[in-house]
Amino acid sequence: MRAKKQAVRLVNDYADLILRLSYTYLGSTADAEDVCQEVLLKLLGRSEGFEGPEHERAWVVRVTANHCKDLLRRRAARPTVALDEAPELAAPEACDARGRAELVLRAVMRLPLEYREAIFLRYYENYSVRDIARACGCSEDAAAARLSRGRAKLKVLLKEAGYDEEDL
Amino acid sequence: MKKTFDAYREGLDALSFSPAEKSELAKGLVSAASPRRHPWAARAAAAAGIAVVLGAGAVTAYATGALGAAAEFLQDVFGMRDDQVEDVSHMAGVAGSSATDSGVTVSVSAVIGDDTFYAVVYTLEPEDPALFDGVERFEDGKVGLALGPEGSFFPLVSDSDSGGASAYFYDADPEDPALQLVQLCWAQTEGGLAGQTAHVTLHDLYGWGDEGRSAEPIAAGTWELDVPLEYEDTSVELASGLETTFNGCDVTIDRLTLSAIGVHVEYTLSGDPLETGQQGWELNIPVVVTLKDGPSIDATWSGGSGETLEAGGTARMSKGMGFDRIIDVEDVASVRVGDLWIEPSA
Repeated sequence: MRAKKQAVRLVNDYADLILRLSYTYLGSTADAEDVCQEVLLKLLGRSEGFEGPEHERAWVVRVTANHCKDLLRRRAARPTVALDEAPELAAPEACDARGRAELVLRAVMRLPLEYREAIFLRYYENYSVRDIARACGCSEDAAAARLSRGRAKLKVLLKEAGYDEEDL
Repeated sequence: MKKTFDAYREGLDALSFSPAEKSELAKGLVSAASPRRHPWAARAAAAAGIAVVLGAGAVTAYATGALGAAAEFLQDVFGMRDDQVEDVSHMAGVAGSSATDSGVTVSVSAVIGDDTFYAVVYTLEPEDPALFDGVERFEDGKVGLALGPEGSFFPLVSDSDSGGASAYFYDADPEDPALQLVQLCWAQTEGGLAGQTAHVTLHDLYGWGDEGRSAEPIAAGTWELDVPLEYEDTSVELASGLETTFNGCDVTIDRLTLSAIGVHVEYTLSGDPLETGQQGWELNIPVVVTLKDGPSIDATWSGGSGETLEAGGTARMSKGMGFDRIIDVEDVASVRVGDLWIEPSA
């Protein structure tokens, strides 16, 4: 059955990407899992073809980002714990690779949304500044500024937690 | 900050679905995307508001709601591109005709065709989910089932003077206990097939393997179904009255039609042939459909029916072929008949 094969391929190719990108926006794995299902369903039901794998992947990133932004807008009226109010970074007990990775991820998640978004696209998806600008709907200057400020703020956050680049 | 972002990527990579979670996610997607997992025949009847009782155990219902499901079955059979599925969903017919015997319900899941060719997909749903567990599965998705020698084997149209079919069983969804039967058929009738009703009697289901049909049937029963050929006929007439030659004879193309699923030509031979050694040579006129993107479908040896050409006389012939894929007539560059190349767009 083609639909099943297609579903398996899409899940294998994109489920983790959507999960990670959604988590970047929403800060909740449970919400990210819901988004994952929604986006994959939309992709499975799409009748138009793609120009190639890169086009398909870019579509997934764009639709996931839009879906998350919609969710955040809908939730804006509801009282939630803002990421900025999330608990302070605590030094992992054992400073192993996993602990360091967790620390950096939590630090990134404390950045303002537009910085997190730019950092994900640049350092996880390897987007150019131009592509980030296109994906975020801003100018290239603004995209570069978001990256630069995001990096600077991340350094500060990590330093506050007692870590600098050498520790990582 | 290379180390920082290496650690960041590592942190994100730790967020992932396990293989089991991915498998569940894929299953959930298929289930949510496809209406086929629902009891669609009952849903279709409710949606259309009609249910015509034909006889014990047989009900026919029509609805457009199940067309997407029909197109999906047809995608299994014809290997369509995803972007063709929507078009085909408009062309396909869904006849919820079904019959139950010996714990197996046979339903018509999809029908597509033109005025000469038609394809029917049936779903065989066993009450015992393990009934087909022992049936041989082949790499191409087909399964080793065969019908008994009795029965009509393919749907017959009442006023058809000739016809035939090829058939196979396959498994559209290994996750459910049902199997599918595909019949690729042709029939010649006055006025074409679309809108008519065919009737099929399936008799006994046997296992099939290297040694042929199993000794005992897996399910002994009789399933009688009406198959309304309620599909959109996409046939276009490409030529009428054109002349060419074949084997030293004059050929008049009486009618050349092309559709999404087949090509059919009726022609009249006259004159004296150069070679008459091969029996049935009258049917061997070259017929080749060439697509704009390159590939050709050669229907030269597809067979047909007609009269024997007596010296100096005339003979009316009819031949054609059902395609193994769905095509868009607009994607056809030319249809060759004998020494003529006919362009659909011309």
